Amino acid sequence: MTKPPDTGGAVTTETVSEQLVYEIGDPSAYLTPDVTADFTSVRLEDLGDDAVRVHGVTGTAPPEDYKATVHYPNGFKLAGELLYSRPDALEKARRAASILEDRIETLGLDVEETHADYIGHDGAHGPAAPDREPYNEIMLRFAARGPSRDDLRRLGMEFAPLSMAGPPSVTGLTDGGRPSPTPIIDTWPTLVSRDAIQPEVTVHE
Amino acid sequence: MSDDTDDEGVLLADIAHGRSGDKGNRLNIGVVADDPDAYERLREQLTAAFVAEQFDGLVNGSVTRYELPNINALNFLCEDALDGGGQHSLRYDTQGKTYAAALLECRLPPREVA
Repeated sequence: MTKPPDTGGAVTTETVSEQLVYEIGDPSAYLTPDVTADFTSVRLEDLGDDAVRVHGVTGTAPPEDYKATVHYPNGFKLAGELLYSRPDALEKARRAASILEDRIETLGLDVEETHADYIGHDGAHGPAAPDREPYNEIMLRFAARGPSRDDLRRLGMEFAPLSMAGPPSVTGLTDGGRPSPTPIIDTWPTLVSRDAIQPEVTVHE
Repeated sequence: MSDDTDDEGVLLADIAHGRSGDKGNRLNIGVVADDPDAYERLREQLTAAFVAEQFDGLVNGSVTRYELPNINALNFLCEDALDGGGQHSLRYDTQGKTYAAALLECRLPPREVA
């Protein structure tokens, strides 16, 4: 592994190791159409100057089946954002989220699940994020999922009123205060027998 | 060992680096120790149960640990970890790309001296 000179970055045993464990699952049985690779047998050798020798990887016969990823429509989701400033930014954002929850119930909207991220606090790590108050500001991102596009569109209309009838010092309404629902295209990873697939390659000059 | 005075344990980021991402609704976190000594400590202390505890509320399924001693690395595969994953997830980080950073911020407990 190497890279063109003077292009930034670094090819080292550290960066190559990170790439080896990136989304790998079971490293002793990494399934590909051609081989079941055993990356636990890998040897890395730092040759310096952004070059790492990678060798020793063994493998066994590939799996009987091919992996196929099937996509299918599965309802809708919506996400809107509101920025709350100090003081008590997190408390204000939490209050706003609870008002949105109340509105869903009052309006009888068909919503399967909701989720509030408090960006600046736990937008990346959720319940694994430690408390670090006081915050200067918190972005509330409120998301919902459900089968009805119309009901989610109606929920999207509930964000703008929060700027006048909700916790104070709020700004930054997404999409003019009316976030829109988008279709969810879910994935169904499954297996297909090799017999059912006839690979064909055409090269156009 | 880089830290002989170990009364307060050690920040994982001080002895390892890592990367995370998704496999559908499963979360994959790779942790690479800085040296063989650090790797031994990770093998001892960075258990699947430890990782599951750090991600309580995010990871709803089991956690499996795989070992890659040749590169001083552990790989964790967490089931039912991404609120459905991909477009289905309502989380901001739908693919768990930032979760390795959360794990590296954890502190391993002091090592028992033999």
